[in-house]
Amino acid sequence: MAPAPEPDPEPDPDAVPAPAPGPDSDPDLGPETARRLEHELGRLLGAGVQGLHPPVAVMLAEATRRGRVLHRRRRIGQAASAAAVLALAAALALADLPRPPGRGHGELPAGPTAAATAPTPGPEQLREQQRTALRDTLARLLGPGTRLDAEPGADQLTLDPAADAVLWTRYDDGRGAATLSVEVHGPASRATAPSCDDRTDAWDRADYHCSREPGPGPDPQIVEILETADTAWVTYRIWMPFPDGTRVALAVHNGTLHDSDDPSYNPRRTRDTPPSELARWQQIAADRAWLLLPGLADRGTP
Amino acid sequence: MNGAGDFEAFAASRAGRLFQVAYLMCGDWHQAQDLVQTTLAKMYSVWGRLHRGEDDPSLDAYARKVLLRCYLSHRRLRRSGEIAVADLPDSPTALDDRTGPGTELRLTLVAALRTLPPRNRAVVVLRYLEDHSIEAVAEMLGTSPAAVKGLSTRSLARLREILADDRELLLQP
Repeated sequence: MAPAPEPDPEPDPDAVPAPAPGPDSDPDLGPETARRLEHELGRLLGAGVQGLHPPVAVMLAEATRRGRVLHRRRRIGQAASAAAVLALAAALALADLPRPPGRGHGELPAGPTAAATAPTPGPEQLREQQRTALRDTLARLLGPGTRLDAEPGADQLTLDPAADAVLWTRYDDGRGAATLSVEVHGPASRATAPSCDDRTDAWDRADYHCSREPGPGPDPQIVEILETADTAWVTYRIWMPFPDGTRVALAVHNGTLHDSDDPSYNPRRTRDTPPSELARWQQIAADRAWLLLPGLADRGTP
Repeated sequence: MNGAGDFEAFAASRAGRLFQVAYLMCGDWHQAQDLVQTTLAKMYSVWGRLHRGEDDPSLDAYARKVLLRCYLSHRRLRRSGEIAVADLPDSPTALDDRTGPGTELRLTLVAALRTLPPRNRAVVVLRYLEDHSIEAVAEMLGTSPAAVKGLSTRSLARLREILADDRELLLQP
């Protein structure tokens, strides 16, 4: 059984030494009174939180978003560590090579293989190509004059470009910038559709709407509206499955995420509702132009 | 069911309870929401490792542990702004007043809990709302059972003193 990862250890400045039984105890609190008080306190605490109705769906959406960022950062960290180890190993190996006469240290002849091999885009190059294609497609679908700005931290999204392509960007229609994300999941992707039922069951308040509507293929599109009265944060999310197995996930908010000066990832609300109408975003998500994205493997002809 | 679906099902079924625990610990609606989101986000990021072979009780215990550490580290960051109060505020309406059943009771309890230091609050909530054993709370807090017992005893005595004027609360059926 795999051990659960230990939560981040933290120093414990509040740690108290084991108390002596006498001085800190209430001398009036006999065992029977203490038991009764414990029982009553448990009952009171339970009754006190019974009427709370937290925005479960919003918490889930936000937790998932933050979790993805953390997960990617962890993967980046692991990849960087592995790359550093490989670079060190390569450097050590080069240092041990016998030096041909007349050549400087570490200077190797260019072999015929290196000269003849055609350059294939690495994952980062492919991601950049996909981001450019996604940005161009989105701008074209939004219409002439659309301006899309960079979203801080968007380049940290390092999914496998053979399976998933993603763009986070900012769109301002003149009434306030909003973060917008487009994810195109190829047939090889293990991305899953939002579980409309789980959230609706968990949170039956009016601030969460989830509907299944006809899509371009046999599977329905899933359309979610997440609102929270406390922060007035509104998110439209659309999940659009295509017949070839490609799935497009589009999310647009009524504010910006990932501000570089805010490490807490708290969103910044800039407007009352996300830009444009929900139906317009559904049209955009359903456009077959997304199927032309380069690099996603195992895709049939659109 | 796949991992992402598992996580969603787990999170959807636990978020409400985690919120209750967080709310009683911190006494603030928005902070409680943030604590739950942070806890679940941390679990999401390691869900693949967490979920291999872990049963639900282990996952629940892990969630409590993450929540507790998030809460205590948040309190540590905010410590300079914290004001210890010796008595209940005259009016708890400045607290998060979500109307509904139990609102008055909740506000009274939150105000009483606010008079306790953060670790004491955590012990009270985990022991008496969540019904965890002293040993389990000690493990979550990273301290000894004797220390938890001491915190618990002092907290109970303090709450008994503070809630003495609200005896009707204790006598409700």
